[in-house]
Amino acid sequence: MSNGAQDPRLEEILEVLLSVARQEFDARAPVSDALDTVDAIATGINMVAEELGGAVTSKAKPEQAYRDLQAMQAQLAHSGKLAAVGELAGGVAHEINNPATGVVMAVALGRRTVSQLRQKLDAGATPEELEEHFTRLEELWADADEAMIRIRSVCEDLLTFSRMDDGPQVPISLNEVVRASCRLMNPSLKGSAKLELELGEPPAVMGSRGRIAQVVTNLLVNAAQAVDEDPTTQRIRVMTQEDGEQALISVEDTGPGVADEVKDRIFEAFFTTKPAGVGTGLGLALVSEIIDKHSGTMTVDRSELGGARFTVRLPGLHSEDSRVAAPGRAPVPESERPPEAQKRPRILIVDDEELLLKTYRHLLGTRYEVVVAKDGERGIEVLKGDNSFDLILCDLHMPGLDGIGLYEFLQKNMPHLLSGVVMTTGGAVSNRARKFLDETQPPLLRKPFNLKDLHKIIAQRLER
Amino acid sequence: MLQTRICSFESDPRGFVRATMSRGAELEGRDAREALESTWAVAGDQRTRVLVDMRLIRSETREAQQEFVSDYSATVCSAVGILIGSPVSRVIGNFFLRLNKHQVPTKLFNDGDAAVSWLLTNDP
Repeated sequence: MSNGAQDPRLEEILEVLLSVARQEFDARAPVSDALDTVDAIATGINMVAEELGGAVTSKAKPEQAYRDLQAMQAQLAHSGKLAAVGELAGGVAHEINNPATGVVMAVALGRRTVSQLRQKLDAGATPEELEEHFTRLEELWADADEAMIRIRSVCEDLLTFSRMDDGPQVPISLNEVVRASCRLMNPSLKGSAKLELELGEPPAVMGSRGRIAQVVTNLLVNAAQAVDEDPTTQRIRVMTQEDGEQALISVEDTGPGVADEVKDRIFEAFFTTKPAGVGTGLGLALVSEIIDKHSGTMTVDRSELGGARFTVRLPGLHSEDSRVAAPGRAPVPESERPPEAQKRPRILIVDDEELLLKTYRHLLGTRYEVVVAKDGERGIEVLKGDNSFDLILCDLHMPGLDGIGLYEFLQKNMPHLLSGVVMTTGGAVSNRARKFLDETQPPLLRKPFNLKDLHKIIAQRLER
Repeated sequence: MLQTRICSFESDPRGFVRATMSRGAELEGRDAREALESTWAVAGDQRTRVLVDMRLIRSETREAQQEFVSDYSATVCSAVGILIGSPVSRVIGNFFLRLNKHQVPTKLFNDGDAAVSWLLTNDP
């Protein structure tokens, strides 16, 4: 055995080597002052251990950090989503449940009234004696009708919020968006503060309706979280107005306001001054991003109500550009109406719901000449045979060739009929359909619509 | 001349800085940073060629090695000649040379004169 083999340092070097083999990289072999060959071996092994340890640690760190970040992101997204859904769901449930209850009660009362009517009829009551019951039935139906209109209105507001993708930029009325947002949020805010609306006459802006609604909603949620929960003393005020060529929305509250030292940071993601569990710190960052995308600005200062005031400024559209999407067009003066409009108008109705087709025919058949087709293809067949229609009432969503397909056929082959097209939809609007509606802006009837709406839109179209 | 915890630095009139590691020096990251700052100072706040005598060094940590191949190091040093002698310094020198990506010319030498000659072939 050589002297080197007897060197006690080799035992320690061997121990370090075994540690490295076990992937334990913290141990180090001693290096003596001799700085000789054995020390060199120890140095080499020490450096290998350190290198491997560093490599393992640096590899593990980003992986762990990435996993932590992913988990954190998922958690935040989830809590953010839950918070938003929670805020909206509260309002929507309230707004729908109340009128829905009204409908249920009206139906129940109607059933009882019908039962009473039957009993009186069986007893030989006179028409005068039955009149009271008929009047009550009419009132109940009117109540149910009004309640259904309210429900439909909530659904329409909700649809505004479902359009969360950036989508095409269209002219938007800020007042409409603010009203819709406030209608939905008001029930949720009622327990916190009194919501006040002061709507001026801001110019229309070009943008995404859903995104702007998201801005208003987030600012409302932010304000509601800032105030003490006491609607008798706390206020949230939403204002719109014109400022030069800009449209302004401001949301202010009676909360504590935003401290000067954090004003520069409140639009940063994950920054929040709220207690743990209240807010994700994403709301204002999201708002800021949306406003940026709309070439707008957002500022925060102190409100005269005492709390914070968030002011959003968006570039307004010039008057010639600001045709906000609305069904129908200005009626054509009587003198300019073509003579054929004086005849009994012809209406083509295209819808895949046969029950609806029957109802349409029943409701409209007395006033108009009604032709029905149960999908787009059959609609085209009818048109190819005779296209002398004054109005085409077409469902947007149908199996096979849908309303968009029929519209495209008309664009290509019978463009003179396009001005007489009225679309109907059940509300579940796909991205394709939304794009179509934004680009073509046809008159639109949202289901469920009542008879009055139907007659009104038909009359508007026929008056062209 | 400038002396730190583990190294002395002096400017050589031939146009380089000589850095000599103390006997038994155990070089850590902060020492490496201090060495670079000292080199910069001794060179008169300008980039320079460096001759590092590490023949008596005992150890050098991974952090120290990374500091010597950092952007800051490339700002300070235009070329680095490393003098090795002991088996330990040879191991450390080879680890440093072969395991790291160098931004400036770097070479190991057993002989001081050869190291100086090579250094002077590099731009200051």
